[in-house]
Amino acid sequence: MTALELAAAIGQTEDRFAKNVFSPPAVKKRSRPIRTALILAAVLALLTLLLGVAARELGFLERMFPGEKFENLEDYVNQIDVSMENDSLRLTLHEAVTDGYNTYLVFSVDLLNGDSMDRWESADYIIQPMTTEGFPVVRGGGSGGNLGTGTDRGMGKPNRIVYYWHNQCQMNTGRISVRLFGLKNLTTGESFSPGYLEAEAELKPCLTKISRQARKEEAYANIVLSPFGLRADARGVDMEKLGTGKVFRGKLEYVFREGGEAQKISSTQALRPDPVQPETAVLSVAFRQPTDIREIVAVRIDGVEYPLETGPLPKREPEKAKEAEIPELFAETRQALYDELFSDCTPVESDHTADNGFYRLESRDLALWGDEDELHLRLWLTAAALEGEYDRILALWERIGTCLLIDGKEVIVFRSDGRVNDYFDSETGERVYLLKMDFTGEGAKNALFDGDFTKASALRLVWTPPAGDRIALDLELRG
Amino acid sequence: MEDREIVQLYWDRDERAIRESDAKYGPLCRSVALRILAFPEDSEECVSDTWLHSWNAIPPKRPDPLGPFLAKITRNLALDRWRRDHTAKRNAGETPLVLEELEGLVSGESTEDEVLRRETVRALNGFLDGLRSEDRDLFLGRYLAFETLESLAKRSGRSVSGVHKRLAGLREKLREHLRKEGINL
Repeated sequence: MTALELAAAIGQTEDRFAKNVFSPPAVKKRSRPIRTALILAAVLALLTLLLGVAARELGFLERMFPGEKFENLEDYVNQIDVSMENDSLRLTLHEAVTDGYNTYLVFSVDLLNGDSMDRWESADYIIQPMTTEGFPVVRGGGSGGNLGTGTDRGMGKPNRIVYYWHNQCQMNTGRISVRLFGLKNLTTGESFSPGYLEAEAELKPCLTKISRQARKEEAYANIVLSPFGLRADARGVDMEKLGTGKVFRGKLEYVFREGGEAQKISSTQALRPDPVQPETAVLSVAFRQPTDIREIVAVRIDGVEYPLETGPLPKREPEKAKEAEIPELFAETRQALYDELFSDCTPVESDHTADNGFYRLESRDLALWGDEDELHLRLWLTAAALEGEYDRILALWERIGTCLLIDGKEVIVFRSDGRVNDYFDSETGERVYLLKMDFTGEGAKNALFDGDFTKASALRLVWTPPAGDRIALDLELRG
Repeated sequence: MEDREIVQLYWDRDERAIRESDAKYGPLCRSVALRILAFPEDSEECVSDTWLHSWNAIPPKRPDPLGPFLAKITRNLALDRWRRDHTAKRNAGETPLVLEELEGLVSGESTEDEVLRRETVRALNGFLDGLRSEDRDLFLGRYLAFETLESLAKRSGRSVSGVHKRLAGLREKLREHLRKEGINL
């Protein structure tokens, strides 16, 4: 065995030994912009309160770039100011800036009866970036999902939560949609769902410079430069060796004047597979802070100069190819998943169904058994759009399960200790959910429900679909 | 946000779990990755991969506390990346020093034997179980978290040379433990 293999084995030892070992670093590294923004926003809020000065009206975006060159973005801020409200809540989209790939958005949620938001820890929302035509786009930079969001408590407005949201997409974003379902108290499990609100806005991208079609011998095509960074299609990359991505080691410089000297800009550079275009790699560069690109006339990568010009973003098709791959992948393992789900029980057919006018949720196969200490649930569910195709926008299981006691008066919320797997079935246009829940032992402790499962009359599954109100599916418990 | 709330977000398949994990444990994971890899860009990617791994691991896991669980994922990913990266980078960071210390315990010949690997992990668990907590934290601080001798000295209230000697003693103890378990590395 090598020393490295021994070190790897030490990394496989039981977690309980590591409890005292990992401690936060004594000296903090430079914060990433969003975290710094949150700290600064909190300090600003405190100062405002101390000075008794009314908070200025939400010029929010610069709070996401504290100490950085926000002036390089100011001209490109989309002032949205779109609000939607019901009797209880108001959702407002304030400001956003995007280069098509990086989007920064500030929105807020107000409680309209004037009560403080203190008891609510979070709003319950889904944000979906889209192309200008309204196609949902893939979120997340490779593996990270959302790059970061944060809230602050509304600068002297106790009835408001403000959200700062940053996301990197794999395609050119031209619209943004925020769907609000209600408020959540994550500690108590309490939810407040007065109705569904959706606000949408078109986003005009900031200045971008692009390189037209590269010549055959050039390694990079479709280069897009923006104040946030650069991205380019990389040719001739061995996709197998690339794996899930690696840090780009090439030399990258920017030419500010024709014939002038090139210079580096402080940045993070990565080379990753492009999820939108199969068999293509993408060079992704994030500047450390917003950069003035107006004077940049070319980018030099590994000594090759690519002239840049102002222009619209290159058109990228929504990821149809990828959609087709998913079901195929799962078609092979569908039976295996079914067998695994019902390996320790015999399922019965279940025909429970519910819809919200947009989506229908249907239980297909169900196994449910238990006694006063244990409850086991195995469930095969499908979700489908009532009109058109299933929207690929994220859907959520919200704190699965509300247990309704037999007298029907008491509703006890419990935390699920289960697993949800899901995949999209292109043949039926449905999303398939596999629920495996065991309320026993540790699971029962985690459940807030400490009663007798045999006295419950139904199990309520609550699903947050891509559009419309939440859907609750009540499954009768017999015997 | 409390650990159990973040873990619940994972269980709810709510992407905010990643944001909250990054906000609370991002600095810890970055520091762990940086100790091993020494390059901020590599470390950042490693931390991003940590969130993907934690997303896949929770559920079914329900780690408590969450910090060491995430830091351990980062550590293992960073070590894996260190192994894969080109040799030019191998002199950077704490990793070469830590591995040099472990070299005395192993033959140096790579093994594909999965049974041996599993037996080694089992023996290591037994070894750690038998240590006083102070010694265990010292051993794992060095060989799990890749902490520098200076940092361990500061944390344990010993001198740097004292830490060095104690670690040598613990390695000897591990060698003896492995021998008794019949494991020949």
